[in-house]
Amino acid sequence: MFEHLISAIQIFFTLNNILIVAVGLVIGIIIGAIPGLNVPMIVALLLPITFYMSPIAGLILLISVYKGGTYGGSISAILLNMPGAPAATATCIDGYPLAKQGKAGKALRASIYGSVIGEFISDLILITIAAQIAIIALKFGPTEKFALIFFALSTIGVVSSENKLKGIAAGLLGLFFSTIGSDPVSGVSRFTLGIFNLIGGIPFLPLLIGLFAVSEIFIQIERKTKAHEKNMILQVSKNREDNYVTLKEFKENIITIIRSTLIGLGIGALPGSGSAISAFVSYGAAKNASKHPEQFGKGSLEGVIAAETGNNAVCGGALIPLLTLGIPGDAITAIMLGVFLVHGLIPGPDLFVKSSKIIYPVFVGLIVANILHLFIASLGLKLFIRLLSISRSIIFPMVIVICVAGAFTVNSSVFDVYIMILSGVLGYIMKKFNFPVAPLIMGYILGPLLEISLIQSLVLNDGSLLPIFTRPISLFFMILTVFFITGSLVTQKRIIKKY
Amino acid sequence: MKVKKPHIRQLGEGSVLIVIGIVIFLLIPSQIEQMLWMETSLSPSFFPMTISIAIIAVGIGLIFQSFLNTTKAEFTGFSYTVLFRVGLAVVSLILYAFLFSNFGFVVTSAFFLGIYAYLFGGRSIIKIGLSMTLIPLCVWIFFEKIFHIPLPHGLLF
Repeated sequence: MFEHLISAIQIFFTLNNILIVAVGLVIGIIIGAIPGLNVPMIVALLLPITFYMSPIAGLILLISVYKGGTYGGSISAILLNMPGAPAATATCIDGYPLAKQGKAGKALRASIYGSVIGEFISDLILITIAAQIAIIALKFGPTEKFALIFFALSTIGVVSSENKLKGIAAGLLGLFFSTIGSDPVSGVSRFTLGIFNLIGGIPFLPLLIGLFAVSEIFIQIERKTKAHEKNMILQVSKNREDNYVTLKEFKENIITIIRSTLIGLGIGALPGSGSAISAFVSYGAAKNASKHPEQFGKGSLEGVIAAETGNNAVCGGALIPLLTLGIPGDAITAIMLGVFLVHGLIPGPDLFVKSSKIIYPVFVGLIVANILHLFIASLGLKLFIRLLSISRSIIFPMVIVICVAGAFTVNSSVFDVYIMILSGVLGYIMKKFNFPVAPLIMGYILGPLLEISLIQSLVLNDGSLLPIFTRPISLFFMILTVFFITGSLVTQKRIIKKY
Repeated sequence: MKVKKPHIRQLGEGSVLIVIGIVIFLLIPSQIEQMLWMETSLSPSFFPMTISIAIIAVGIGLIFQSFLNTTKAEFTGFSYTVLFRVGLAVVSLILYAFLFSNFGFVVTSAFFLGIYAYLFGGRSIIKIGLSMTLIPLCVWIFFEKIFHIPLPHGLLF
C-alpha cells in the first residue's frame, strides 16, 4: 500500500488538483451554510461537470464539496441557530448558546477543529482498514439495523436537557410526522387528509428550515428594537479567551473527539444511516460521559465538538461501503457512484488493485482536503463572525428570503413553502413552551428507518422479535441502549444534585 | 413575568399532548386503509397506533409530573404586542408564498424584505431600499444563474 501512496502523491500534486479541492471546499462551505441548499443537490448539479474531468479530479471535487458542506452547516447553526444542513442540527443545541454568550469565535473554531480532526482520523482509517470495516458492516441485517436505530432513538432523552418527557414528546411527534405519506411497505397512504402533495410525505428540508430557521425569525421578531439600541444580531466578546479554543480545552476534549470519530465512522459505514444520526449519537455519548453534563444545552464546548466531529467523521465512513463493496452509504455517495461508472471504474474489492493509480491519488486528495479545510475554514471564520455585526433588519429578512427560495427549490413547489411556514409556527410554539425541537428532527429522520427495519426483521424472523436479543450485534446495541438510558438518568440526577 | 402556578401550564401541555394522541388514534381508521391480505408484515396502522398511544402516555406523564413540580418558573408569555408582531410576520410570510409564484421571486421578495426590515427595526430608507433591490437580485443570480436552480418567474420577473 505504501508504494502506491508514494506514487499517488506524485500523481495528485498538481496545481489543478489542489485548486479543485479548494474550490470544492469553498462551494461546500457556502452551500452547507445556507439553510435550504443541500449538499446532495449541489453534488448532483456538479456531477455532469466531473464527466469532463479526470476521474481523480472529478471524485476529489465531489468529496471536497461533501466535506465542506458537512462542516458548513455548523456556521449558520452556531451564528443564527439555523442548521444549514440536517447534520448540523445537534450543533445548534450548544453552538448557538455559546454565540449568545459572545463566544461565537470559540464555537466556530471548535467546530472547525472537531470537523477536521474527525475527517482526518476517519480518512486514515478508510485508507488503512476499510476492507475490515466493510466486512463488519456487511453483517448488519435488518435485525441489527433495527437495534442500531432503536439505540439512536435513545439519544432523544439525552438531547433534551431540561425535561426529558418534553424531549420524548417532541421525538414522538417527529416519528408521527414521518408516518405521513405512503407506507414504505404496502404503499398505502397515511394521514394525507386527501392532499396530493402529502403522498410523498412531509418534505424534510422545508420541515427542518421551518422548525429551526423560521421559528428563530419569529422569536427574534418578538423583540422590538429601540432606536438607541445597537441593532446587531449578537454581541461578540472582545476577550481573547472567548474567541479561541485554548490548549487546555482542546486537551480536555481529545477523548470526545476520538469517541465521536469512531461513532461517525461506524455509522457512516452503514448504508442508509447518516451524519445527522451520528451527530446526535456522538452528542448523547459525550453528554453521558462528560464531567460537566449540566453545561450541555447551555453552551458546552464539548457538545459542539462532539456533534461536529461525529457528523464530519461520517464522510470517511460513508466512502467505505462505496469503495470496498460498491454500496453507496448515502445520497451523496450514490451520486459519486456515477463518477466511477462514467470513467469505467467498478467499485469493489478489485478497485484497489485494478485502479490503484486512481484510487490512491484520491486518498491523497482526502488528506489534502482536510489540511485545506482547516485553512479555508479558519480564513473564512472572521468573515462569518462579521455576519453578526450586520444589522438585524438586513440579515434576518435576507435569511428568510433564502429560506423561502431554498424550500421552494426542493420540489419546485409552493406547497413546500407552506409546509415551511407551518413548521415555523410549530417550532415557535414548541420553543415558547420549552419543548426541544432537535428531538423532533431526530424522530423524523429515524422513523422510516425504524419502521422498515422492524418490518423486514419480522418478515425474516417469521414474526418473532426474539432474534433482536439473540443475535450478537443487535444484542450489543440493545445492551448499549440500556446503558445509554441508565447513563442519561444518572447524569440527570447528578445535575439535580449539583444544583 | 413570574407565573405563580407553573404546574398548571404543564398540566395544560400534558392535556394537549393527550388530545393530539387521541386525535391521531381516532384518525387511523379513516386515514389508513387496512390491508387484509398482508399476513407476513405489520399493518400500516401499527406504527402510527403505537406512536399515538406513546404520545398519550407521555401526556399522562407530564400531567403526573405537573403535580410534583411546584417550583416557580420563568415564562416568557405572549403579550398583545408579541402576538401582533409574530402574527404579522406569519401572515406576511403566507402572503409572500402565495404571491411569489404569481408575480415572480424578485419583485415579491423586494416588497417582503421591506416589511420584514421594518419589523426588525430598520428605519433607514436608503438601507432598506438597497437591501430590497440587492438581496433578491443576488439570491436570484445565485440560484438561477450560478447553480441553474429555477425560482418562480411569475408575471413580472
